[in-house]
Amino acid sequence: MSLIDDKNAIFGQISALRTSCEGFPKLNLSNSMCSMDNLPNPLDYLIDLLKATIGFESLNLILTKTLTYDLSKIEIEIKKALKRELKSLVSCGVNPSIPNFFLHQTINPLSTGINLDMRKVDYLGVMLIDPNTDAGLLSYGDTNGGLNSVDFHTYLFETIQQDGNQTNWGNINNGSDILSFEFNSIGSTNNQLNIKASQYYSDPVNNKKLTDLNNDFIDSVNLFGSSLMINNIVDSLFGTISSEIGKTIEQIKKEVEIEQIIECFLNTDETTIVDDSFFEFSNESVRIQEEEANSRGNGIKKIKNCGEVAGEIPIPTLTGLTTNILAATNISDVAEIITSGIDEIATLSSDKIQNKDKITAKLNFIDEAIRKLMIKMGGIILSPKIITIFAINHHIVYGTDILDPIEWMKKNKTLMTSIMTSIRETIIKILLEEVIKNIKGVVTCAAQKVIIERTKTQAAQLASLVGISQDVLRMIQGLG
Amino acid sequence: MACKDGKGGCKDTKKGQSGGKLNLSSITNVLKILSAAFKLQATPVTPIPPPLLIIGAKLRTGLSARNIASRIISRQSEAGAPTGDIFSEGENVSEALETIRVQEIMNAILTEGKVEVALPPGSIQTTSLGVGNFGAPVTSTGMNINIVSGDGIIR
Repeated sequence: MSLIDDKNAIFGQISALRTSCEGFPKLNLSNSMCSMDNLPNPLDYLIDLLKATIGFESLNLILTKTLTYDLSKIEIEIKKALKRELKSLVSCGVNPSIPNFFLHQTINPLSTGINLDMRKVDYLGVMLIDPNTDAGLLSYGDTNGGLNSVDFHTYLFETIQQDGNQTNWGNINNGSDILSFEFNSIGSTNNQLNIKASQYYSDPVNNKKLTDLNNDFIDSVNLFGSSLMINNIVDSLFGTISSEIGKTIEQIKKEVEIEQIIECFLNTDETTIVDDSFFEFSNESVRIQEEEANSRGNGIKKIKNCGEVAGEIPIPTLTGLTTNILAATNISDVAEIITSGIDEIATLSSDKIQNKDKITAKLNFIDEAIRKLMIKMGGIILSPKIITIFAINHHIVYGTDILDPIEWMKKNKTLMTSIMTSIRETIIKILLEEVIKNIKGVVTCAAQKVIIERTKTQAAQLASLVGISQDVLRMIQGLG
Repeated sequence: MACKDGKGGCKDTKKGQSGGKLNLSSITNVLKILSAAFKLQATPVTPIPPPLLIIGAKLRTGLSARNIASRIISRQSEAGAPTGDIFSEGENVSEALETIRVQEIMNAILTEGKVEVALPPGSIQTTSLGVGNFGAPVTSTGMNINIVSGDGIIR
């Protein structure tokens, strides 16, 4: 059987079981399900299956669960992949030492450190946003921490403001400083970030190797936060934050381009050959990218509904949600806040849609949110908190700087594939668990009905053998 | 510290990934998992006591296509289907079709259907009483030692 037949068979079985069970939403199998094809993408199929069988509220709970309870699991898997890749980059079977030129100046006064162009470290322009603004609250973690923030991006922003003064990262999360940073806006080359190993890691007494530094740095950064992920998703769909801070269309186009590349990695399976075609765009793709960049720049999303309507999410919605999440004292409160927050965002997104299509619009929002969540999780490796350590190691191994993040992704297809596979499989596992729970519910209900029916039939058959009338037999079986 | 081959010169010492981890990126595996979720262990039906069968079978009236069709049509409204000749074009086509459907199914069951029965060894027990030499009573018992089969029809 072809894939489309197998996919239809699952829907058919659910539909057949539901005919005998009350209390389940009607199965809605429509031609708009793009996954009903012969393409081997399990993600699209599972999302369509869930949209058809369990509806908006349950999908909202899945997204909430992922954003609340599962982010840490995904973070652990991604960090494992990052550490593996760093280790294979620098270690030729021997744990290498930290090179002299990278040691702290208190240990080696002649060390120069590594100078990185800030535009390559911060390709997506995260540092353009001030953490101490409304938009900053939505884009950074621990915005009040300053140089002692537990969020690397907040720390880096504050280091840039120091301009010419060296600061240290690591003590807050690691117990001892790992790296020393100094931003120089003016120099032989402007806007350079000078990086050295911290005094602690440079001191031979502590016997720290480059691999230890890499692993400890990866462990010291927090990759994800619930509120940050939601804000990233909404900004990616509606451009709420981008329009608020006045991001240029060129800057947004870069983000859209990277999202499309990451989506290619997300859609790979074991038969896909990952090559440079992932990084090439047709004229049509470029047109779509420009259109999307324009919409995001204006803070809207074009939604098709008998013509086109513009969906938008005002920034106070996001700031309110972020504030509530940060104020929550336990994880179940966070989950509740996220569930109602996503519901509010979905409702706002379908505000201008005709009433009869609002449910579909909300389902489509959840569908897109789940996909954007995965893309944004994959995109984290291009943020300063990750690209910095790879740029450092690239410089140590090859003696040159990384060209730009897209070239870097081209050279690190294995890492990209590994990370996106981890993310994809975690999300698929979550979706699959929910689908199976739903199927088991229907199967159990149908099995109970069959047992009851058999018992009644047996009673009717026994009664028929002793001459009981047909009326009574039909009553026993519950026939009309 | 550049390695000569520009790639770090490293052989991957990590053991190849193999073994039991299920690849959830494969649609085939996902569909297999979903199909397996529908499977439930079926239990055999409870047999009807043979004495009851012997008595009760004689009371059966036999199948009637018209009776079956009538009951279906009378329950159509439970499913929301229109009943009776309510259409301006003429008769209720679905009711007529239902009658035809049931008649054909019944015709096939009653005139073409066959019941085959197999009895396991030991299921037919016999006892006989006779007179032997010199007038002495002789009792013999027996049973079928092979599988016995039979044919029947449905009424």
